[in-house]
Amino acid sequence: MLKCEHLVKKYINTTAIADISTEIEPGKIYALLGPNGSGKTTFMKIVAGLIKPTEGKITFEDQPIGIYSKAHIAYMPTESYFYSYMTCKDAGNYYRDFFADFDENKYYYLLKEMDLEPNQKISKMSSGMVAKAKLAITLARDSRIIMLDEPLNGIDIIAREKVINTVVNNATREKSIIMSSHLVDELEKIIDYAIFIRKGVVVTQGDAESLREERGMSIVDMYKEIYAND
Amino acid sequence: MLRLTKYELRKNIMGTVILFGIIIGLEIYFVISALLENRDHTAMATAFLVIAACVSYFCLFFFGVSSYSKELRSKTGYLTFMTPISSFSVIGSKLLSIFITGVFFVILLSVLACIDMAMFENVFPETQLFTDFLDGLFNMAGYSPEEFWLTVLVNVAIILISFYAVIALAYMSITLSSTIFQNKKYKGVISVIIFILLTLLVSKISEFLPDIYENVTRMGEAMLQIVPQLIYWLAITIGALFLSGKFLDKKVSL
Repeated sequence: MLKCEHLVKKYINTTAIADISTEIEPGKIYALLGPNGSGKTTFMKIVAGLIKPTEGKITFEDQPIGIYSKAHIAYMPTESYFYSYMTCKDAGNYYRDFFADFDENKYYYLLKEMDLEPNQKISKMSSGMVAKAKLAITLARDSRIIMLDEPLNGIDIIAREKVINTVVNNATREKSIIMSSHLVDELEKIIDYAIFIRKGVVVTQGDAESLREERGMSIVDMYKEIYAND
Repeated sequence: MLRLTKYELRKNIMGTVILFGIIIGLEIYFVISALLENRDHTAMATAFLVIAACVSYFCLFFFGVSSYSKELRSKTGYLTFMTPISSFSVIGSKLLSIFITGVFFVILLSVLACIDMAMFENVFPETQLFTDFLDGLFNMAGYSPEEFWLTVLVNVAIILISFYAVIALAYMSITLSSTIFQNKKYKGVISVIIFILLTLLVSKISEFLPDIYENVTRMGEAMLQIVPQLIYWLAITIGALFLSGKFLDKKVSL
């Protein structure tokens, strides 16, 4: 579904991504793992079409990233990205106007689930509430790929389980979910595939169960081992 | 593009409302002063209204340019650029929203000017002499007032089109700083320098545009005389927007 071959992204003095090659298939939950600055967000932004790679090739259903891929890939950035005047309802109207796969009823259901009011102004919300609003609007799209960048950031421990359950409930055989998080233990139980990134390079990737069997340790322990000296 | 224009208008509504409020406030000041036949205050209100009309021109430029710049520099750009629409639509929606706001203010100020003219003449009867003098001058030169106003309208059209060309050049400069100069340390300064140089260059070139008539004696000729200007500024606008869209498509980095 999504193919990345030797992606590179360079900035003035840094190389955000040095070499990422991977393939995203439908029906799986992917974990993009790595410490801060490892290139997880840059990779997601490239897939979302917000950044162009310096080198390498990326295609979604054999087409380059562009209008078609944007119509089928949902991306939830770490930051609040809504216009300053927007309430949850305004944001929903925007998504309804531009994304054919947006389900308005599901959005209002998810807002209710997250204890958010449609008329709440997003710029006045706490970081935790914004995180929930972003999650609700992203998951309300029936996209082929859903990318969640640090979906548990700012979410308290009680609400985390609800968020995790919402994500799992949205996983179907037709769509893929890609999540990045520092909270690896929270992801361990739900992921099908893990991609470990260090300094912009994929150091290890594979089916979560196979990785556990091969290495004889959990994904959390693998994370600790890989990034111990970073 | 039209749907995105709706959101563009909504984003800039606060600035538009403030500008509208100032103009209406000044108009109320003018009307009260004129009704009380207070010459000092009527003159002051008139001066303020003229200044407000000029300022609104620059405000529109500022709204348009800052909206685009913000889009490429702040996180709200994610929302716009993850939407499945072309870069040309993003730029087009911004220009259309400036056009709609511009038309709104042109109509508002024109209506107010028509209303205020009669009231102004009532407070300052001596201005009627000046109007009569102008009418006499037109008659002597063989111009009708209708032709005069038509020429004014055509020249206003040139000013508006060149205004759009300058906005398009500003968009191209901002786009260059966010795409091919994204890795340069002083990309903001580079963007401003590019904008100034481009604006000076296209203005200088416009001075060399050929004249269709050596001596313009009729209004019809005057209208034809501006055709090269119209074509030139339109070409600059379309070219700058096309390049901006292409750079965004190929090199966008948010």
